[in-house]
Amino acid sequence: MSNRINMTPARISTNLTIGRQTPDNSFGQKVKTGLENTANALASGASVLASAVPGGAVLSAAVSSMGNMTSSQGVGAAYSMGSAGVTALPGATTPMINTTLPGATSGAVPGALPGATTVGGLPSVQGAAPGLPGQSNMQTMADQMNSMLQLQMQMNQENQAFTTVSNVLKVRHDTVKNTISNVH
Amino acid sequence: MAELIRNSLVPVERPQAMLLLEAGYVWLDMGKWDKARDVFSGVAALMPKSEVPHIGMGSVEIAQGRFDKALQAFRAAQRLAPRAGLPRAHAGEALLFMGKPNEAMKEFKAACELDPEGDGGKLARALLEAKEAGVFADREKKR
Repeated sequence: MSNRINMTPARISTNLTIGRQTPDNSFGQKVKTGLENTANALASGASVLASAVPGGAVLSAAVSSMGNMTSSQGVGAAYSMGSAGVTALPGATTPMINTTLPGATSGAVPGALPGATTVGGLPSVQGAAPGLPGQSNMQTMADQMNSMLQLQMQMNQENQAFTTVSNVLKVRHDTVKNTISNVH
Repeated sequence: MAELIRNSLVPVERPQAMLLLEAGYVWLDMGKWDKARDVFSGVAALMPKSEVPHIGMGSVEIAQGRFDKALQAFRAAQRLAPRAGLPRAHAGEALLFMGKPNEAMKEFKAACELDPEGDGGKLARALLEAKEAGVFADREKKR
């Protein structure tokens, strides 16, 4: 015998769960949408000028096209054809595109995409994750500065390589011209 | 009458020989390897004592990535002109692409000694700078 006072059976909803019908205009959702759009723009390689970014955030990008000429045929062809120095380098790796945003933070916005960063000028996201020590911000900045330095060193090395290859191509061209002129 | 090329198979005027060689290098720059090879082969037959068409042949082989054949062509040019630095510099270039930097250095050194102020020396020094800048580092690793 049941001890229930109300003999009415418990109501169980059989409706299937459906997605939200009305747009989610909450603050958290808007921040998430903004971060996604920013990450997509960076990933697509769109040229973003630093002045166009709210808050004056500095965007640096390094593109290495050395990987385009990894095949021996490609190397020889470009090397001999005297094309721009960029394409004449025996490549080593696949092309890489690195973008960094100094002053950005990561992982502090609830629901943010992995690797998504904030752009300077947006509301501080540190406050959204209470309990983080203050040193993490400094460490992040230090890490980003290190990566910027490495990026600059890589660019300098590539610049030097491009210069030397251009010089080789120029010397080759002059050599051919002189050799033909001196044929006897 | 224009100056004739010395020791040619048939009388060939110097401007004609220059034009043929120019044509070969133009085909090379256009990527038409077979046509360039044909031109340089023909010039080599016309001028059997000249190292210039053999250097052109070597350049065609390098452009196609056939560095061993390029080295053979440059060695042939070297035999025809043993006192010239340019074939040695080009041979060093082929050796760099083959991932043999030590042997390439010997060729560059020889080129600089034979032709310090000429084209051979200049090309050797330019290739040395490129090697030190790490342009050929990947070639050495692959080997």
